[in-house]
Amino acid sequence: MTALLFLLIAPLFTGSLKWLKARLQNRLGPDPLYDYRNLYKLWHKAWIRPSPSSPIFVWAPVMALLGAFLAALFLPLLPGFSFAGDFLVLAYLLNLGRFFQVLAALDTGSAFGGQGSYRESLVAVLAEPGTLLALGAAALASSQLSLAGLAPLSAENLLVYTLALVALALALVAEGARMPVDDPTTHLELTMIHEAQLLDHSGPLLALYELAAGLKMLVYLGLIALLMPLGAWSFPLVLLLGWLALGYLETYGVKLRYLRLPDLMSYSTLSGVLAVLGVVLRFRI
Amino acid sequence: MDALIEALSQGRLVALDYQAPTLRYFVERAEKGLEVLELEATTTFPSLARDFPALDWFERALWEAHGLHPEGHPALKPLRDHQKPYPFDPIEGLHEVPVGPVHAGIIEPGHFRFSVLGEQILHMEVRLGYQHRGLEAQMQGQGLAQALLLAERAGGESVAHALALAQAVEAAWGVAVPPRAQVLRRVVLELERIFGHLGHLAGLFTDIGYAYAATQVGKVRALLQGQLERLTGHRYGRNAIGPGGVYFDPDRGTQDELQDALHDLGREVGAHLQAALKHPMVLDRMRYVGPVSEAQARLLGLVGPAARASGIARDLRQEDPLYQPFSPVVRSGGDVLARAQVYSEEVRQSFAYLERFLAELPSGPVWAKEAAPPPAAEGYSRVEAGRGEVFYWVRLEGARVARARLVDPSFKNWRALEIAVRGMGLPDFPLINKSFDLSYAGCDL
Repeated sequence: MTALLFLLIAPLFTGSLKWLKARLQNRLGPDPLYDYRNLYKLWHKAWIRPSPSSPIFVWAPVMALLGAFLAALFLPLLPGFSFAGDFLVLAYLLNLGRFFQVLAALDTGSAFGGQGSYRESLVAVLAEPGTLLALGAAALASSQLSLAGLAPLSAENLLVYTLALVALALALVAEGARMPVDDPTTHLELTMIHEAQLLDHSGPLLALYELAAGLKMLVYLGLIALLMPLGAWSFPLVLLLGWLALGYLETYGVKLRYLRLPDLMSYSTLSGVLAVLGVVLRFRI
Repeated sequence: MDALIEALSQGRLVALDYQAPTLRYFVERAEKGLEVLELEATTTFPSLARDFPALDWFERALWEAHGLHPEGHPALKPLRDHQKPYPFDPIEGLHEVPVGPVHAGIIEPGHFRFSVLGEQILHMEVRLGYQHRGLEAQMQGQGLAQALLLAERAGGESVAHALALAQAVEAAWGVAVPPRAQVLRRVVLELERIFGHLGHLAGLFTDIGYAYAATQVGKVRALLQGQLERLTGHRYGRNAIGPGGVYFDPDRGTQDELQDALHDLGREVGAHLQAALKHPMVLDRMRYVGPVSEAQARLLGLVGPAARASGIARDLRQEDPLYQPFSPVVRSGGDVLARAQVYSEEVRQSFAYLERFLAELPSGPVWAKEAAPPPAAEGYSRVEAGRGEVFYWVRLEGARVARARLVDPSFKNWRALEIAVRGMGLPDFPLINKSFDLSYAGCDL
């Protein structure tokens, strides 16, 4: 259920983010619904495949979207699947999509595809510990190993959850390829991380990739919402806050130098480690 | 020959020209100004590129255009001709990344070949010439109106090129331009400099993802071009300057409106630039990135803001009586930040000069008195454009161009990029490139 809802609202989220950024920059900006039309347009376009590539090139966008969609199935915002350890499955379903995306970019044989692949892999490696440690700490603090059983934020687990939220928020910008990690609007191939892998995909293949990227961001926002104490209001509120924060960051922020990325992501890992320690050592404020 | 070597070691090469059988080196020295040194050559000439890298591209261009062989040139390869084979020098064991000539953005074509170790650039070679239109050859035999039309399309700076050509013609004919036209020419030249510099700065902010500053600076740039259009009828100031005068003459009302508009725009963009260039993340992205030392800048013969950001206090406006007193904007360090600061400070400086020019605009005619041109004459001139020194030399037969030689500042500055990127990260290349913001067309001619 959550997955279907996410699939429907992902273009609204990314499209309205473009509109928000334009407004913050004193521009008129595109229609907030623009991304729906863009997907429709891309879907009806022809696509081409680089001559040296294998079928992986075509299947990768499907796998990326499927990975993000299946991951969203495990988010218990609306009734869905749930079992002990499902957060691990969720994290690695997202990585499965990325695995194919990296392969497909290498498959094109272009210099930029390879460059995007190794950069994306590095970002993934840097973002993974933070995400898993944060979710693990939240699960430990709730004495439940499924996402559905996570206790909401309360005075009891305030410190652990705050640290977990920091780790997840940093992982969100890295995984979503947003500022200050990656600039989704740039045309400069040499600076690209995520986009460099999509350069050779066109038409419906690109549409699948774009949808998957939006979906992935929503999954991370969903994870953050699970830790929030407002019940059914958590997700809409987190969505709104995330939307505003990303719009602000991508207007007034500056992209980090690529070689500084490990510094930023180390805060995510550190927060994750501290969160786990907090549970194990029973920190209380 | 010895005199030439002495001049080159003390000064800077401005242009190199060949008219069989004479090579002419235009060299600028601090105390002697611009000198022309001659050397006889029929099929070969001694290459000085090994000792004076500033000569490298000039000698290659000469070899390509006239078949004159520079003996002992360290890397003789074609510059603009894509029919000849071009050997890159790859470094054994390093990964090579080819970029261009077609880029993802709407920018000019050029090829960059990187030798990288991981993300670090150890070597880079620029290959241009994709926009070679044979402008100098096209100017031959043309009337002045047609030559001006070509000059305005040579590189990124229409006004500076038109002004340099007009001044070269005036120098050849000995025409005295009336004071009002002189000042009006400076007004459009400074407007062009400001919107050019703001373009470089907006580009720098775009490249580091600072969308807000990029949009605000870009907005002022567009509004300034609107003011240029109000003044001259063209957003890039084309068809504004001709030999002997200017094609526009603002009335009192236009002059006042322009003054008010420029005052407001100058304050607005000044505030944005001051804030943006203090942003800690902006400093982090620009500082120590893409450095060119003063020694390197002198060796390569850099001009314009690129040279001034490396500590070379040279600006052709120093000798222009209309700008007195003038002190060039100089920064040391030669990194992206230094270049950004030079652009930003020169924008402020140009707004101040614009205010002065418009307040003290002399009245009178905007055209020199018509006189019959002499049957044959030659002259040259130099103009400080936004990117640096534009050089024009013309030989005229009546009112026709018999021969023209032009050098765009970008031609002298492209090599600096190869030096600046060494040891830098690959993702920083677009930023370093943008900090020079060189014209591909101006280099290719």
